[in-house]
Amino acid sequence: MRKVTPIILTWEYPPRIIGDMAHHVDRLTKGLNKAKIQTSVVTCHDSPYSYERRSDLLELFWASNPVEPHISVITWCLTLNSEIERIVSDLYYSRNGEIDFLDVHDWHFVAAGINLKRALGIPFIFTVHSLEDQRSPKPTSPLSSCIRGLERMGANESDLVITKSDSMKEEIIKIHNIPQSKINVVPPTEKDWIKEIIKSYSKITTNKGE
Amino acid sequence: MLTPNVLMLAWEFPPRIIGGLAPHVYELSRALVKKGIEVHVATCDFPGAEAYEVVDGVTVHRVDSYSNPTPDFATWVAMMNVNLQREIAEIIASNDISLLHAHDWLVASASIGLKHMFRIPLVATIHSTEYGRRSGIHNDYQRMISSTEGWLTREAWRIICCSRYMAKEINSTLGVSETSIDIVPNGINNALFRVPINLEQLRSRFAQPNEKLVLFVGRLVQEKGVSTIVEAAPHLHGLNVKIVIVGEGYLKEELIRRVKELGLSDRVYVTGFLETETIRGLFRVADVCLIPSIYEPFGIVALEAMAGGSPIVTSGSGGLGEILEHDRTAVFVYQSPESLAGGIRKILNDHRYADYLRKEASKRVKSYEWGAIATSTIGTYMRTILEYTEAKWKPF
Repeated sequence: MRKVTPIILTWEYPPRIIGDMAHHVDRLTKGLNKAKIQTSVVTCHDSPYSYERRSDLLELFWASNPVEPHISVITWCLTLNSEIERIVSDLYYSRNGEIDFLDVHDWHFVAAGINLKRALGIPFIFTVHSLEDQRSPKPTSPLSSCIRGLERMGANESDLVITKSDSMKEEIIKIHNIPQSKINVVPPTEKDWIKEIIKSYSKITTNKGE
Repeated sequence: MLTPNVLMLAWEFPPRIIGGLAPHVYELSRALVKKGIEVHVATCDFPGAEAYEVVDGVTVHRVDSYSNPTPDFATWVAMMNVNLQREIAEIIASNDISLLHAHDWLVASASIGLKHMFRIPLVATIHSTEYGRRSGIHNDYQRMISSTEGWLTREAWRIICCSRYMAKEINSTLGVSETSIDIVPNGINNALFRVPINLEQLRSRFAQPNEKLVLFVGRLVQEKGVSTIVEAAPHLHGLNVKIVIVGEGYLKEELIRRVKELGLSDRVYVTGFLETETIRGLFRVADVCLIPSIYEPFGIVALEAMAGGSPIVTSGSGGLGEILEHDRTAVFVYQSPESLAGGIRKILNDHRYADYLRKEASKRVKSYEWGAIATSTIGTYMRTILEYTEAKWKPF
């Protein structure tokens, strides 16, 4: 079976650590590399460099926000999405369109995932770490409603949703009303976590030509 | 060389009209189609308007822009761009679009994302700058908008703006080289000012037959200098005038309060919003049209007054100084109530002088017909396509 080559979109990755997602994606990329999976990470950092090769199988692309300052996390994120689209498009054209899929972590770069899918036909997985309804002390506020709207787009327009637990799966179905069959539960605590992730990834590349 | 298929992005298009951008995009796109260019316009939705329709040959795509709740205007703009981009991807792919044309910062992130994903060149029209609109950048909100304008101009292959004044402003505030900027003025559809209507009846809604009608049309905001008009009114003693102030804006209540305070309620009438047809008619019946702007990137109201045959008193600021000429097509005055009142007197007291201004203005305004503006715009498109095709290095 041909090996998958994921492009992971995440708003945090070491050395930029905001919460647990940076550690999670770091463990994920290390695990994928151990399994000899070539992985690219597109993330944000105000680094003077836009590219870093960390190992033979792991390359990082840093995006910095083209607009400064911002008035909210949403305007910051959504502006940055155009920069993410630029980086992934460059990869797409330099690889002659040979991109398997994107793995988009949480809502921050969902817009880029959707647009790249619609424009260039790149499938995307929406990996849900948490939902705005759980994170926000005011889930009905306009800010949280807007983030929930982006999560809904991600849940609906992605080709597959990956999440960490059955309870999170139930929450996603309850809030975003998507079919159970679209969600794979892959707990990162399991021994075969990476194996299961690769299985999910393979599902997308198998379906790609259909 | 083949003519490009163009996709314009604009946050307003009739019937959604917020400011001058909607009529600009409407007239320009129609004029481009008449010259053989295929034009698509992607814009925000509007109650009652079709999601997809062909208007005089222009294919209009209206995208859902209000279903996501947002906490403020800037976030709404960001989400509107997400929605625009989602829908436009398919339009570009299925219509062989070869050039994107963005209008102002409001559609920057969608335009830039699409440019990179489809690798087609981007032209941007900067209608005004945040720096100019706010007389400087005073807070982070304005800084963010100005920074977005800078981003759009860096990503665009060529920039279009409406006047030499704006080209200098874009150069000084956004750091864009003037060699990247093409000056293409705004246009006017002169025929719309010749449509037969009952002018006498229209005039009677705003002024008595023996009153001279002094008109202002524009947004009621500080940059338009509208407060000077109210302050000028007491200096018009001896003249039987009715000053009609048309438009909406944050200064409206303040203007009404000041009119009352000065005891001029019978002399100054703040109408609020009026239908476009009514406004066109007012330009035809007004004895004087006032354009005392402090900041005016172009001054489309000057073209409207010229087309309607209303003699103009103006500050001549910004682009107005490029359209109008003192003592030929307008009276130029200082931005003070006394000077403005002096300009009004000069026209109202000398009918022959007023007729001369009218005649010269009606000749001058013909060069601003949309057909001529479309030809200049096509020049920018063709130059962009040619340079882009031949460039050894492309800044994707």
